[in-house]
Amino acid sequence: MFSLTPPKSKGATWTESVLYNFKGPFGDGANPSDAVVMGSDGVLYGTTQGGGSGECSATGVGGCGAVFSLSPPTSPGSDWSEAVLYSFNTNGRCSNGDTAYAGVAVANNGVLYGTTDCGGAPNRYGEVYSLTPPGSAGADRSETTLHSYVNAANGGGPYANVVIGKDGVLYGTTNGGGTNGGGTVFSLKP
Amino acid sequence: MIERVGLTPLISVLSLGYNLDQEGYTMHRVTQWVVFLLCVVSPGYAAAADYKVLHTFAGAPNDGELPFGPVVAGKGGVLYGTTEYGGNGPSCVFETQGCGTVFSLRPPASAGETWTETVLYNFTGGADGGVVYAGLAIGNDGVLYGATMFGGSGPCTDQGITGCGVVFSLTPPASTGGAWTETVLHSFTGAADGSYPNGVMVANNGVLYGTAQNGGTHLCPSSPGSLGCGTAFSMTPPATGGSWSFEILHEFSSKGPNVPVASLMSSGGVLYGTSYLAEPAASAALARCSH
Repeated sequence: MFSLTPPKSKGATWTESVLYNFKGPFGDGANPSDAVVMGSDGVLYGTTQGGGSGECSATGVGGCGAVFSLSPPTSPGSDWSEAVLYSFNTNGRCSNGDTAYAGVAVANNGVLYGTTDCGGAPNRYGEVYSLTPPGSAGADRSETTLHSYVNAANGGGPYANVVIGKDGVLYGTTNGGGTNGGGTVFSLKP
Repeated sequence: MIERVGLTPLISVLSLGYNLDQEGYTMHRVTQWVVFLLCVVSPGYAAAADYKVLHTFAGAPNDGELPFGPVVAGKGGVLYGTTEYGGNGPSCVFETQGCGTVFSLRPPASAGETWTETVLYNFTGGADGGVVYAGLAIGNDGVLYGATMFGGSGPCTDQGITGCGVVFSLTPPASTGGAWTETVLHSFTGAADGSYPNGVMVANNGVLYGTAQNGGTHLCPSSPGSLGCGTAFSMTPPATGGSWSFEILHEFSSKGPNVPVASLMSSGGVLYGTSYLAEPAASAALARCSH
């Protein structure tokens, strides 16, 4: 994770800062492949393709991907603080490798919504998931599969993030499936 | 597999996923009805009631095919998005038809009726760009901004298509029903400006910010062919007429974050982004998705 800070005077150079270096499996995320979003709390949220505590080592992947948060320093000059909020796992979800190509969308109530390209019951064509903030500090977020794809008429293999419409409905795309096999646009009311 | 992996790590990742998808794709076309029957027979596998397909892409030549990026919601709840392939352009890469599209999806007047999809632009893979992985950004004036992975006037060649990618705008028609106008705002050269752009975001003042996976003057040993480590750039609109001002904000190097494969976000004037690779390196191998 990096930041680019504009110069104080026009024409001078921007300053790159490394906010966080992912440590990789098994525990931390690795190889983020989508943009981050910022919650109303100023915290950045994103995903990594690899890493996390999931058991995907059989395929040489090393972790099944993770959802992370990166909290700004509490005092000037101190480090940003990373936390793995959820690790994708082998529990019927990711047995053949990592899935989280897309970043997350954050709702006003702090719930994160995202997609995975494979994984998800019953035949691993991806899913739309939510991560609900814990009821008490320090507890785990609760992950819920909102929709699982079977690569049929309802789509398959979502590659991109969902967006939250003004109506609170999630909108997204699938990179496959649909009756023509050419993908779909979908809505999902959580 | 390796020989089909593209020039850049991202494209490699995409290719890994895509080739597998492609292999599965043909099979899935054959088996989707079987799967569908299973769905009917097994209600437990049926989609949840709150999930709706708003549009099914028909593919070339009259519709886009395989949306890779997200949609973005504009005024009136109209969704705008892109497809990697499809449309009425020539075949750009692989065996797919068309070179990508920009589409709109208009909500129905009353709930429960169908959404209306319109192809706003068909890429040709030439100077206008081709193969769209990234989603769109919407300017205050309703202009759409995006990036193509390939095409343009740059010298890059990969996957059988030339060009290092472009940043484009798509301007709404003056009157309803007219054609949208595509304009190439920057055609990447693969040199210091970068190559293979990941998409752009638009700030409130109309300035575009984005990243390019490769290019820049710092070579990256981790990239096949030792391509550049990528760049971050801004593009400022002209006051009146004229061309956009392209500025390199940062050239990534193998000594830090490098090879960004996603766009940026902005908060308080500061840009935040991710890089697929970094030094010191994370130990994760490239991920792959196998259905």
